[in-house]
Amino acid sequence: MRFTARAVLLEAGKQLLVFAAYYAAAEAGMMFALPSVNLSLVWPPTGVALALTYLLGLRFAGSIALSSMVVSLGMNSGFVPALAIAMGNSLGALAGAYLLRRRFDFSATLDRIRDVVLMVLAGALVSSIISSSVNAEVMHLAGLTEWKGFSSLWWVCWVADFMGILLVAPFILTLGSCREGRWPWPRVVEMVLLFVVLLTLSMTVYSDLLPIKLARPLSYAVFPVMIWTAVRFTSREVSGLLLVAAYVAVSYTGAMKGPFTDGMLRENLLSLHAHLGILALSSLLLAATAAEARRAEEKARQHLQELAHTGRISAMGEMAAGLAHELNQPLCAIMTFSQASLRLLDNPREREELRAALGRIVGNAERSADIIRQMRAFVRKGEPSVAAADINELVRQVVALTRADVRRHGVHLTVEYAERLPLVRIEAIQIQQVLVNLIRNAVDAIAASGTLRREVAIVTRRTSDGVEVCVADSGPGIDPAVKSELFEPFVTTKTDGLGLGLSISRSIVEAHGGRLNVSNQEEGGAVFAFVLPFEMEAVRNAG
Amino acid sequence: MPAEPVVFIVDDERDVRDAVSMLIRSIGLPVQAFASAQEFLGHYRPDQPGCLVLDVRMPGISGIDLQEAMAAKGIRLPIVFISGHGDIPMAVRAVRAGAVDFLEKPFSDQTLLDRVQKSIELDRRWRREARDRDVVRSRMAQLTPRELEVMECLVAGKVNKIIARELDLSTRTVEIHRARVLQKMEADNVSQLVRLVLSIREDTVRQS
Repeated sequence: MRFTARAVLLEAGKQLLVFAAYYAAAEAGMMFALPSVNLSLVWPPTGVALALTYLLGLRFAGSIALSSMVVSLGMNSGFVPALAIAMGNSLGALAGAYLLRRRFDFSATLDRIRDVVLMVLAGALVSSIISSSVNAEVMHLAGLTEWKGFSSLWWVCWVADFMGILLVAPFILTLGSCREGRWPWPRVVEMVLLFVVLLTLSMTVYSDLLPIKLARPLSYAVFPVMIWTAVRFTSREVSGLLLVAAYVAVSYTGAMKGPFTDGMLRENLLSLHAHLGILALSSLLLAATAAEARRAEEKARQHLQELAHTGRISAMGEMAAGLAHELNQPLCAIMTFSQASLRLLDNPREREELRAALGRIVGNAERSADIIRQMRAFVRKGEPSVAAADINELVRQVVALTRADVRRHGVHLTVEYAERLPLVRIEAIQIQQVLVNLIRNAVDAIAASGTLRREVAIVTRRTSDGVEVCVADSGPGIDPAVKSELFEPFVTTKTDGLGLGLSISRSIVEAHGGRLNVSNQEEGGAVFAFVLPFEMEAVRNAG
Repeated sequence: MPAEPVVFIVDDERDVRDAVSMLIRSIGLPVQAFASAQEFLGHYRPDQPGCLVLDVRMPGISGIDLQEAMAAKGIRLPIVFISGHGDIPMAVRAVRAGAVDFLEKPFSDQTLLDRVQKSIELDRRWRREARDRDVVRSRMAQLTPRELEVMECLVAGKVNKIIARELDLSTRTVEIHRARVLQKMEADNVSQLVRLVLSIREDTVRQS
């Protein structure tokens, strides 16, 4: 580290910020103090200390100690007890942050179950035990509290510290590791709604509006809100709402209002903390679980993407000879038309013929360019782009792409387009791939069987729930013995080929929320049909 | 009636077909184009001179199939193959079966036009030779069996005396037959007669 003026200033600023944050948290904590015993219900500074020491670095424990000392002196404790408490608090934060930073694989995003567990065990538990032990000892020895008995004093201190960490630290930790971009407005509305509902619920439950008998069971009404948030949002939003719920609950309970005020102080505390603790733990764990599931889904999607791309490259390789021929035809036409035009130039009476030839040259050049464009698009490995697409247009493109292959095997391909098909939201290139696969399979089946009728018929149609594409061939049909495992990877009836085509195709169609089925026609030959649903939640995952 | 030679084009690819048609028309040759071998076979009359520009790979009857079918039917028309595939075994097969050339698409216009003109020339020669052979055959048909025997001996290079002995005739009779043969075959001398007879024999050998 270079000790430039700028670096020193920056470091000083940060230290000052930590100092101020701890002090502010202590001031806030004072609001929850039980006036009778000079003890706080929840001690947020412990959470701030742990989170900031973890995020900014272990050296910030110094500022924590200093801030803590100032706080203690402000509460009229003597210099020595204040020093001892400061040491205890900073040591607690230091130990917790050290474990999380250096000893364990912990991520402040709290988006894995292990992160939540580590934060509770290595962070909250260790840190709170150290600081509360020192605090209780000092307070007991120095007589700073009216509380009777050391063990119960320790218990109250520990719970306050532990809850301070559990409720405050997650918010600071996750806030510091924000990765999401801007939210679309429906998501903003959803978040605002959740916030309003939670706030209203908490205020209603904890204020004196309702009798305790009604308020206590109703206090569980915050759970669905938190569960909703956990499933739909990340740990950051969960811990933010948690902070709101806890603030309301603790401040009202501190003022002897709400459902947890009818028993002995100890029982009340236990009830409130158990309630908040379980709320915090369950919603944080659920948020982590949801994040893990989302990541697994994303990974599966990426995997399919990779696999699909490999499949397209391999299909393109197999079609290369046919496509070269397909390109050669317009090229030959262009060359011959041009040569004929050059000859016609000498004859001024042939203007019309010359014009026609030039038009044909342009047309053939466009045709070549189109083939090249289709080829490029087919093997491109771009960002997934789900968009509304016309299935008929997609079928046309694929027919152009596979034309050479179909012709080479002397197969007659017919297409029956349904009129006025609704658009479907798809990853067009992947659906093209499915279709290329099905057409090539159909052609291969016919070529291998050597039947006299060599026909492949494609039909698009509208079904009750989506758009269907059928590819029927005049081959021998599917052997019932292999039908059940037809879509398994590496199952193939061809002499060449990996047997991945159908398995990838089915995965692609299913990722679009559709289905791919096979059946045999009565007059012989197989029919592969896939349906793409109109409205698809699943399309998000299609990639 | 010697009809004007026509260049026939058979290619299922419309653009290529039209382009080749235009190119050939540009040098003033009449063109007839077909999209399939079937169409061509249904239309072509064997007495029509010209040549055939033929695509190798087509759905249904391929170019090679058409070449074989024409040979089987005894249709003799020079063929220039054009192909989008650099398929050497197929080219060898086509040329062995008598194709004038095998051009790979895209081809140079000059090469194609050269081959077409060469093919028309070849066709013209084939047809002239065929006509000549017909004349020789019709003359030969007028010979009596005895005159035919004498002619065979003359073609085999035998002198009158030998022929007389072999056929058990007098030398004088052989001389009369010989004069009749030369007269009927419209040959000035024996060496011309030999050439005429061999022209149809060679052809028979070549065609078998």
